[in-house]
Amino acid sequence: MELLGFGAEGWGDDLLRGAALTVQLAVVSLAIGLTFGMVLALAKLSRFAPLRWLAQGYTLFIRGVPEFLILLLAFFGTEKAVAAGAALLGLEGGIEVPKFAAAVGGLSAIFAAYGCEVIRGAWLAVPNGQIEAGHSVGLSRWQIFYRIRLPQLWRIALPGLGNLWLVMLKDTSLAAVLAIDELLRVAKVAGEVTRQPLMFLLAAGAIYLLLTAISDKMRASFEARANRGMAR
Amino acid sequence: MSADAIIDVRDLHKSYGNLEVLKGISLTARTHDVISLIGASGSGKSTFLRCLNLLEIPTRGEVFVHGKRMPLSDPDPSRGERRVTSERELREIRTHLGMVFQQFNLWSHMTVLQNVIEAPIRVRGMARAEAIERAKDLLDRVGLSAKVDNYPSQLSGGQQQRVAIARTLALDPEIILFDEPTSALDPEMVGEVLAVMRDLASEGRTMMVVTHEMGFAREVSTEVVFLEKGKVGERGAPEQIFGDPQTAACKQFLNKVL
Repeated sequence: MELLGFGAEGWGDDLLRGAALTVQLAVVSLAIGLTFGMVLALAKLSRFAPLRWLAQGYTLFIRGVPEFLILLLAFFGTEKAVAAGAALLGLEGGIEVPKFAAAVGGLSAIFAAYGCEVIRGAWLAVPNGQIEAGHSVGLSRWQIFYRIRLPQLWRIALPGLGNLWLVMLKDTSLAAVLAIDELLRVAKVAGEVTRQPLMFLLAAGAIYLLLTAISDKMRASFEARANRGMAR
Repeated sequence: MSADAIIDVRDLHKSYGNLEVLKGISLTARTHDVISLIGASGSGKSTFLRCLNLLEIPTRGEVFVHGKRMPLSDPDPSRGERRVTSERELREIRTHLGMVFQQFNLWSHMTVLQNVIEAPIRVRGMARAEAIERAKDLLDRVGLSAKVDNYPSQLSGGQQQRVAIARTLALDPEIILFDEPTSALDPEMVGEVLAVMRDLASEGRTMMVVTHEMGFAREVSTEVVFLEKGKVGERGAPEQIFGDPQTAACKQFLNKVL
């Protein structure tokens, strides 16, 4: 048991640091993924056909290949691209792609591809009459977007985005392949060193479960807030 | 065009592809006019009304508000739909043209009070305290002062429509366009909305009303316009249209609905 503690022999502090990194990865990827997902949704709703095709092709690709592969691509692909760019500029030597950035890039790319469909659906679910009412009183397009469309879009999209968040929170474990010391990798290393793999894997599982439970509580309270005034 | 014309519509056309819905309608609304637009469904009444504040873009023809032309590019069949040439100008003009919709279209994430103060604050830049005070007066007038903090979903259809009228009145528009304001209501709620509209008419509000409520049109209107297949079939004082219609189409329509 002391192996799970915080003493000199214990791995408890390492596990917590891993968990913190996992949360960081997920939160940063959520912020970027949501923004990018919104842009993709707008592209899909655009009247300009090439923009729609571009967004369509992107989601088709991301959704069609394994998440694991995307993370590897985010790392090695960017590395190649950076190296090629550096060579083009005449810079010598290897330039390292930060692993954390590559993982965030991969995770948010995945989140955006799935999230944009949720956002697009929610966009279309806001009744058009309410948008027209906004126009009829002289609100600007931007005001209509952030005062009328966005709050209701958020309410409609929340359950779907909440699900995607849970998926991504757990997908952070794929970042282990990039040698990022997130929760699962720490647990695996600890298990190997101490020859107690099962205990550490179960401990990691418990922490993931705790994180997702907290997430779900937060989502529920967001939803309750967003649903004020909605007929049940 | 007389000096007191609020809206002057000239030869308005609207087509969707090959379907011509409006085939040249001209109409003038002067201060204190209450103009009822009647006609069978599909005659173009609602489309006409929606062209006035450019919720629909007319294919041809012009709308003048206080002598000022609505900011639309000239019709050019080779270039497709006409463009709004100035969003800012359009928004400004829209604040003078109130609109009440068949489906109320209240913003469902806002309380009754928030619905009413939104435009005065965001569009007119009114101070919040002042907007709230005025909104409460207006809601009192439509008999809903007890509901200020409720959400639209907690109200009946008739109550929602009265809030929608208060929301429109909050900008003190010079004319209010009513697009079948009672058509989506249960029969027992029609009366309360019509009562508010009568009240507005009697205080001299200028109104244009697309309606199937012939009793209302007859009692309250200063002019009744019968639309038929995208054209003005007949127009005149209510006594004349309802008492002694001249055209066969209008007679037939009135026989059906009265």
